[in-house]
Amino acid sequence: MKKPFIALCLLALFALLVGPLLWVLYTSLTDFNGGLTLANYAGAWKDANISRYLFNSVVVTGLTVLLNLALCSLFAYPMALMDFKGRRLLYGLLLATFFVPWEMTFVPLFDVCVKLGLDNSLWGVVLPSCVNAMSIFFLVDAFKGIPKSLFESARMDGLSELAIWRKVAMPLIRPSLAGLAIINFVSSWSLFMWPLIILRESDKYTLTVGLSYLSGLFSANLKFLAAGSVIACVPSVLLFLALQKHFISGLVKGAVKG
Amino acid sequence: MKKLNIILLAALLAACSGGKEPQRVRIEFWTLQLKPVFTTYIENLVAEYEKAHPGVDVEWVDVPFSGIKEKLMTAYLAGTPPDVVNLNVDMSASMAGLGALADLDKILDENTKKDYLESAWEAGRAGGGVYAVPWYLATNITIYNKEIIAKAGGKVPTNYAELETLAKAVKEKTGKFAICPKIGKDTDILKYFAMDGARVYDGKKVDLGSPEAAAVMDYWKRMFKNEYIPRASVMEDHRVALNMFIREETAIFFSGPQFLKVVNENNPSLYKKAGAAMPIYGKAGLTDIDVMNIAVTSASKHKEQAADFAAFVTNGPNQLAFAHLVPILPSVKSALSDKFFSSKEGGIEQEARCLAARTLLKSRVLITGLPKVTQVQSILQASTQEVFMDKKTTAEGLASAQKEINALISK
Repeated sequence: MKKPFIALCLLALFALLVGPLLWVLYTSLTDFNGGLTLANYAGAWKDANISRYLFNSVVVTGLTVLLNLALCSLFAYPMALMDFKGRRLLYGLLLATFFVPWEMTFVPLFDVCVKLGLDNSLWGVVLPSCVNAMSIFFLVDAFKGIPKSLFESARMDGLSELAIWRKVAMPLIRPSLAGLAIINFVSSWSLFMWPLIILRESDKYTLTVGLSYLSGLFSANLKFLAAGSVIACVPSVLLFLALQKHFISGLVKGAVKG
Repeated sequence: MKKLNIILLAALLAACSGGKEPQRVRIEFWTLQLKPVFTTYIENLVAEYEKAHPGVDVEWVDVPFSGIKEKLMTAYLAGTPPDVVNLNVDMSASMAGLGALADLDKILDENTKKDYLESAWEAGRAGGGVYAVPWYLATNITIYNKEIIAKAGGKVPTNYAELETLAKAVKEKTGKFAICPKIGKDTDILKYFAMDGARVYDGKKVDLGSPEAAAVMDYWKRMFKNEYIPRASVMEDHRVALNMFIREETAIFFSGPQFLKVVNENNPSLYKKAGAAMPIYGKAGLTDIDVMNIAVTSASKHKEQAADFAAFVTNGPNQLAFAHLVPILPSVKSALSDKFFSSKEGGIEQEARCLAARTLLKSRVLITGLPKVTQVQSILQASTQEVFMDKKTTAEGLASAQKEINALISK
């Protein structure tokens, strides 16, 4: 009896979530008379320097994701599996950064980047976001899920901790890494304010920032803007589809571990 | 190792010889979202200026509008703001309030100052100084959809009573709206008060207790209650009003002539049946202008040079050239007197340009120097909604808004 009601609720939720996306897709694919066309995509591509922005976004996001997985797992490994003085304090401090909104750190971060000569460079976009508490927290959990005996036997075989990290631990948490890669990809891909603040030359803008050029102060072709937004979504969707299996098993793994 | 030594030596030599050259002045110039359409125009300006001033390098940075506040604030707090920055009146007022901008009244010479339209020049005034020179202006005219007005059997309104009559006719005959006024977002309701003669802000305090303010509030409440204006008008911004006009859901759009271009890009058939008319003046015979301005930061190491560059960008010839590229209005008399702003030859955009130029004579920046605009906006929006929804009377709503705003800005 309740089933149709639940289905209706789910349908409404679906419409709420997907409706706007479909609307953007529809707007981007139609001309003023409602006919199907790809002209908006061509127009957007030409109007804003989208190929350049896309390239920058791929570089920034690629580096961010790779560095994030490498550096955060290097930090998470000792946090999860080694015992040393000050470990709890260090981990506590790290988790505390969870509660500081990233925007609040913009000014000191900007200051540091300028002093390091990282302003107006893609590294200035990448480095501040390639280590974060969320990823480390997630990976500590993942490392803790590996049976301890595996590490003990690896140690008895004479492997160094770094080798254990690389040869034993990392391969075993592959699903978690895949899930984390997707999460980081999406958040890095959609960053707007920080790249805008740290970059000066528009040739270095990432796609999300560059798209704002599709709506100038004196002109705004809403159809081009819609087409640009769809282009910006495609890589995230493709990556998700490619890693979907890992993503879901990675999330579930984190959830079940007690 | 040898290689490294050579590189180090070369670097050392380069550093030493660099010291002998005369010190070059570097000016960083930020504009608001002018790329890519005006890239050539600005690059030419910069090149021309650098040619006339051999010791000066101008670095142009174009910033998307949606992030300018954050970017400027971050750079300011980190101690590395640009030298010259293009802002709007609200932003320059709030930056001036922080002491971040230089007083250009003191730096610029009298001849330069004299050429700016007085009303536009005054828009840069905040506290004791003038913290920005006006660049380009936009004033609202009435852009209308001839078809909807004809169907409703109405005429283009010249005052607010006529607008109400038209709104009734449009509603009854076509089921559409006459207009989607922007009374919820921004501080536009304050401008409506001022257009009718209320002195809303005196530089220190906001006064919403005038009979004019109450009458304006009652007018829009009546329009809202009668559903002559869409519900969106109390919460949405300019973009929504523009979209409704483009989708031909409203008959009239108050806006600058430059938006005709947007109309053409998005609905070419509407462009063909669009008309332009003088704006509706308030009871005080005034209407508002939007000023884009250029400020010099107080942290700039080269304030004089930066102010000189700001004056160069905004001088007569350069503004006239800009106005040829886009239907905006220049802020200097020497450019406005050009026949480009009086000739009737050309399509609706030229007609709109001439109307807007004529409007400038009766235009003022109605509210200047109001600080903390974003927070003031949300107070106004909340109290407007409370009045419209009958949660408060007009007098109560205005009184509580006034109290809240004054408490906020006196902090």
